[in-house]
Amino acid sequence: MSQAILFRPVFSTILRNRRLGSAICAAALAQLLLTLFGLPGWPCPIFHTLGIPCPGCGLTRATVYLFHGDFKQSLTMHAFAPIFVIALAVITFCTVGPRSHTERIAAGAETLEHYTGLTVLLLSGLILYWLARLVILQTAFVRLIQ
Amino acid sequence: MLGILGLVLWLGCIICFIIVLIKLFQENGVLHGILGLICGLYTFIWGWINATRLNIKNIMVIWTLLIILSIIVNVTTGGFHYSFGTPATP
Repeated sequence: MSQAILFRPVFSTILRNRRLGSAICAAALAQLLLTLFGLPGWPCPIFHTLGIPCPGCGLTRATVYLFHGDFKQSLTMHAFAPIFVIALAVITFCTVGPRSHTERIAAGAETLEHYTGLTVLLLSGLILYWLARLVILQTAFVRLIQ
Repeated sequence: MLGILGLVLWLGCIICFIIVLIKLFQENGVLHGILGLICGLYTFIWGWINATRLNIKNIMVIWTLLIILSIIVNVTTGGFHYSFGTPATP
């Protein structure tokens, strides 16, 4: 995989696309509210078909725990919840905030992604974290997600 | 019977998911594709936003209907249960 692909900005393109940002914010809010009230939200197609949790499974509940201030339970459910909350907060700000601020934040995120490969690092970390849970704690992981 | 129906619906869902995911990989590159693989909801949103441009409106409509039906079947058969509040411990 070439360096150009690995360091290609992903998050900044989401920040610049207000339509996509609004849809992500609305869907995330709906998903969080549904989970908070114990109602069925977005079902993971991978988990329901194959019975294997996907790398993002448990993230919504972990976020709800985080909002409740239950950090331990949140990290047990999914360690990437704090990163997810920060990313969601930035997307929300860029969606509802003034365009000049949005462009400045998106440009900053683009520079960061371009020079550090932060997106690749986070995505790789998430996949490694998922693999570790799946290989080492498979039964407990599936039970936790159910 | 409903269990088999639920499985068939989920299979339909995953087929639609894979079709849209392939489009996501082709249009936006590997990293967006991996993001879509990790977060199915992102793939779903992206699919709807680009449905007209990519001519995948029918697939998105089918996927949406399958998800709604799957949720209904899942709730009816008692397949849905969140352990929120009392999570299972390893």
